This record gives sequence, C-alpha cells and structure tokens, in this order.
Amino acid sequence: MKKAVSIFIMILALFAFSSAQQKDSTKAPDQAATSTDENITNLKGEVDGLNESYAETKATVGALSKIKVSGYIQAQYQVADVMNVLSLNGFKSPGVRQAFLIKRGRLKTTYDAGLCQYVLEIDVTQDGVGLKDAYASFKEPWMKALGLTIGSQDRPFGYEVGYSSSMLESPERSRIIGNLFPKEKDLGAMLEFAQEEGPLSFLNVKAGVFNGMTNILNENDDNKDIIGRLGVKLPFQDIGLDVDGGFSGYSGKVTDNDSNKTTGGTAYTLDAGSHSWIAATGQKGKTFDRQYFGGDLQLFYATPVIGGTCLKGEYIQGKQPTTSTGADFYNDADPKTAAVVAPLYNREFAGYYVYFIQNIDPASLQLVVKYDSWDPNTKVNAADFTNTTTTLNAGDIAYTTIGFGLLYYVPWASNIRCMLFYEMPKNEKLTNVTSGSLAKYAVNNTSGTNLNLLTFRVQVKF
Amino acid sequence: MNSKTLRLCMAGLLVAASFMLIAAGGKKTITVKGSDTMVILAQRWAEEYMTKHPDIVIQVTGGGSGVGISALINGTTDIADASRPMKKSEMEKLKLRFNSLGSEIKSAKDGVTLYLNESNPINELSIDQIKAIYLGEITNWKDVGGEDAKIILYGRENSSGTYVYFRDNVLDGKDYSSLMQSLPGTAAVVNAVSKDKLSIGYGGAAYAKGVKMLKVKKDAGSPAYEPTTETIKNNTYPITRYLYMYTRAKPTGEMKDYIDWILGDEGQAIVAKVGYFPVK
Repeated sequence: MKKAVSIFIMILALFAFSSAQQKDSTKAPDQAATSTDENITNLKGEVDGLNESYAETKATVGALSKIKVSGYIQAQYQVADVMNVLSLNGFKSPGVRQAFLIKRGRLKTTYDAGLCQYVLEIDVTQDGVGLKDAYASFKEPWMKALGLTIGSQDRPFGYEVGYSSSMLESPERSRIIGNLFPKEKDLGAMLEFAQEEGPLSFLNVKAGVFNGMTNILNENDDNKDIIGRLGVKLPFQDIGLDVDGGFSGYSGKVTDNDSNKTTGGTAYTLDAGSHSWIAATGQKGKTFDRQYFGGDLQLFYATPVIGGTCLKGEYIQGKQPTTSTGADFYNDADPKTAAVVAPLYNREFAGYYVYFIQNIDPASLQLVVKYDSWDPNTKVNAADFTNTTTTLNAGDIAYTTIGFGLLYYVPWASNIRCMLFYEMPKNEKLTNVTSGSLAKYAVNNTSGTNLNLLTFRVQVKF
Repeated sequence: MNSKTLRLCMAGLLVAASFMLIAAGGKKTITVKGSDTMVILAQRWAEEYMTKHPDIVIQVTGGGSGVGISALINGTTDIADASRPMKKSEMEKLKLRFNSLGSEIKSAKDGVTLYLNESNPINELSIDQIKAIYLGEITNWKDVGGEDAKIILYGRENSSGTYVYFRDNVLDGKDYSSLMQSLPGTAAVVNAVSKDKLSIGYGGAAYAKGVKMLKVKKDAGSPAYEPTTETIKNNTYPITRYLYMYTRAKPTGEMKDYIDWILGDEGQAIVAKVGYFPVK
C-alpha cells in the first residue's frame, strides 16, 4: 500500500513536472535543474510523511489486533415424549411437549496481550442476560508456564465442566456435572502450570480458591473452596494415538442456614442400618463437608479412512450437602436475609459418564453414543425405598441416561454445526414402593417418569 | 416420541449418512494450503504429479503456515503445508474437532537464509548479532563491521511459519523490532533486499536470487556457514529446519499415494531442483 501510494505520488509529480516543462520551455537550464531538485526534495518529504503515517497506522492496527470478539448461538427445537419434561425458563412446563429455544447466545471479548489476558463473556437467551467468563489472567515472563487467573471462570475440576459448550458432543453436560457444578463457573483465583514446549509440556496443573457458590454471588459464609486438577497429555503421534487424563479434588464447606426457629436449623445424616434420615436440630450456622474426588481419561485415535475415534469418560465420588429433594449443592441462602427454609441433607454420591465418538470425515459427520450415571445416595439402593417405613425421598433416587447423536459440520461453512440427539434417562425402579409420592418411580410404572427428549440444534460460531 | 418414530428417525439418519459417504467417495481432488515458503515447491510437486496422474486434481494455495493449519482444523484443506512444527494449541484444536492429533510428514529440509543486498560488504554474522539486529538492539551496520548507515529490516507477516520459526529459534521467542517492515511473501522480501543496499531480510534458501546469502555462525568463535546441501544435511548451518505437511489423519488412498511420491525419489528430486534440501 505504502509503495503504491509512493509510486502514485511520483507519477503525479513527474506528470506535473513534465507539464511545467512543456508550458515553460523557454526557462533556462539552470532554473529547470533547480526546479527538479525542489520537486525531488518535496517528494522525499511527502514520502517521509507517508512513512510516518504508515508507522502510526501500523501501531494502531497492531493494538486493535489484540482485541478479539467471538461467540456462538445455539438455536434448538426439542420434542419430549410426554408433557412436563421440557425445562423452560428454569422450570418444567406442564403444558409443553415441544418448543423452540435459544439454548446459548454467547458473546466473548478477549484482549490478548501475550502475557496478560482480559476475558468477558455473556450469555444472552430468551431468559435474559447472564455472566459467564469475566476474568483477568497473567503469565510470568520467564518460562511463560505459570499463570494466575482471577474472576469468574471454569472450575478446575475434571474434564467436562471446563469443556466448551460449543464443542460438547451432547446437548448438555452429564447429569453428574450439572448437579455438582451448576452453571460451570465460579468466582475465585487459580494458578496454572502449563508449558507450551519443554520437558514438562505433557503436564497441566491447576489449583484455585473459589467462593464455591457459582458465579452468582450467593455466598452465605466465609468458607472458601479449594479445587485442583493434575492432568497429563501423552501424544503418541507416530501411531496416531493420544492419551489424556487427570485426577481432581474439591474440598469445600457448606453452611447450614436453615432458619427454622423451632428446630434451630436441621441437618440430616443417613442411618446406614435402617436406611432412614436422622435429623439433628440446632445446626444453623454449622458447616458440612462438600468433597469430590475424580478421575478422567480421554483416548483419541486417528482411525484410517473413516476419521478419528474418541473414547472419554470421568468418574467422581464424594460428599454432597443438599436439600431433601435437590441434587445440586446446598446454596439456597439469601445472603441479605439468611432466610432459608430448607434443612440440609448430607449425601454421599457417585457417578460417571462415557462418550464414544466416531468421526466420519468424508461426510463431515460425527456419531455419538453417551452413557451417564448419577447415584446421589450410594448408601441406599432401590430396594431400601418402601411405602411407609422410610424417610428416603426423590432426592435419593439414582438415574442413568443413554443418548445417541449425530453431528453434522456443514462443509461449505465451517462455522455451522447441526446436532440431532435423542436421550433416554431412566430412574432406578423402586421395587418395594406401590403408593405415595414415590409411586411414579415404582418398578411397574412405565410412563410416569418418561424423560426422553429429542433435540435438534443448529450452532453458528464466529 | 414412540419407538416406531425413533426407529424411523434413526433409519433416516443412517440413509443420509450413507448418501453423504457415497457422494464424498467420488472425489479425487486434493487441496493443499499453507506455507508461502513451500508454495513454489508444492506447485512443482502438484504439476508433476498431475501430469503423471491425470485423474487427480491437486489445488495448491499459500497464505502462510498458520493459515494452512487453520484451514486443516476448519476442514477446508486436506493437506496443510507448514515451515514450522504444529503448535500444541493447534493440535488441541484439531483434536477437539476431528478426534485426531493429525499426521506430520517431514517433506523437505531448509536453511532459513539471511539475505543481504549484493553491494553490502558484510559476508558473515553470528546468531547473536542477527538476533540483536532483528530485536532492534543493533541498528547501524557499523556495529557489525559494515558502513555507517542505518539497517533496514525486512521480514514476514505473523501468519508466516518462517516468521514464527525465526522468532522462536533466532530471537528466542522475543518480539521483532517495531522497525521491521513485514512483507507478504518471501519473494517480496528478496525483491526488497535486492533493491535496498542497506537492508537485510530472511526466508527460504530457494528464493535467494539476486541477493547475497549471508554466512551464519553459531556463535562468535564458530566457523560461518552458507546454507548448502552439505551444511543443511549435516546440520552445521545453524538455522536448519524441516518443511512439514500435515493431514488430519494417517493418509490413505490418493493422498497416501501422493505423499509417498513426494517422499520418494521423484518428489525429493523436485525438492533439490526448487532449491530446498531432500529429507533423505
């Protein structure tokens, strides 16, 4: 561009010079030579000016190139087998079996200056605007391996919780991840060690301190949660295999804020012998363990001809303080009034998920089979539920889900992905229950708990 | 959704997938995108191969190593040419989309060559001197034994693999001097250096026509070497690199035949003819 402008100016100058010569052919040769020198000096000045202007423009463009805007929209149509399955606006809608939804509408702004980053991401859907990522991160300048991130960010636990929703091969994360890490993000500070190159480049270590209450400021106590993951990536490129995995831990506390004045706050623990909940009163203000341990493994194999194959899974177990029927952690407190009516239940849980993904590259397709399991109370099984003699409730029932999906990456527009996914969740069948509030989970009930759901989703990413 | 509807739905999906597979099976076009350093070499390979295999169409475009690797990740090219190894972050992106780390093929060797104007009296420099020049710490030729004149720096744009390789291996990962003028191709760098007697540029050895190739010393006490077949082969030339081809999975079918041919005698003879160095 600079050259083109310079050439253009020179041509103009030569043309002007030539015209002037023709018009004033009677001028003395000395005068003509002086005029040429002046013109060249003027031209040089103009080119120098353009050079300066170019340098300024380059600096401005260089600064702007550090700002990146990206995002994606997930628009979907869902059909459930029965009414009261689809979740709209956060609640089950009894009169709706099928609906269009904007599942995610993400807009992310990143300022990347190499060793420091600013990231702000919002999620805009029909339900409103929500905050996702909002953090600042820094890297030390020597090895460029150790970084600090502060703000609203992914919790450094396992695999699926930090896996981008835009890359997820199923419509949603597994039931266990949704229950343990609702909204995926939390507010905190995290250290990460990851070498781009070098002898430790196979290693990734993350550890952080978080509020523990998701990134909505619902903090009701002064306890902070510690979360960490030790991960490895072992590429065997010669044989087309990649083995990734890690171990994670979560250690936190949850405060019982049950504001029932009569009981002084109740906390329940399970009596393993009678499989009944035992209430302890006067527990308001006391803290209970929220502890998770897990391992994750991902295998990738470059299958010839057809395309890559992936098998990945994660297992987590631990202690989860919840409410009576809830699955996610106990966080019902209103920090302003501390007005909570729900007693706290201490449960020990276990769960896992497994994905099998087969690329069919010639057709731009991915076939997906996913299975996940969630047992919110490992101390009881289906036979322990009875009509009258138990205090066990819906929050103690285990679920498994199998899902089949097809992903199509539109070949003429690499930023469009279509998903067709059918998932079939099943609760454990209660063999000894015939009546009461748990009857719909009974072994002979085939329709009461049908949660099957078909999702057709189109995602456009930029 | 009842089970009959589900079965119909799944059957429909399988039929659609089968049609797509059949449609895709008829293709005999191989697309190659990436390194500008390699674009002439890639074109020569393609022309020669297509002459011998008229049923195969090979489309070659440049744009830079980063552009080629992005195209591989986006699924818009079959082969990405790169004058630097694929970064870990790029492999992660490929893995996320294709469940594969990709396949790396070392197709040729190159010495990253420093070009000087033919009238420049300087003949050799050490890596440290070159580094200081490109970091902007040395700005006058007299500081490296030349005349008292400002050094004019030419380099490549940041999508170029040569840009990245030179920054990582010569500048130790530090940023180029802000005075460096970025040009959109090695040919443009050579052209600029050939016309500007105070300039220095870098690029692939095959492009060094009408300019002087600088001899490079590993350090101040080492002998200086020019990039030649011998010095590249025995790694005595200090800025030696491989030129890579990347595919999403292990090559099969027409693509495997093409890559095998490139790595064979005929393909490697073209490497030497173009001005690079065979891998064997």
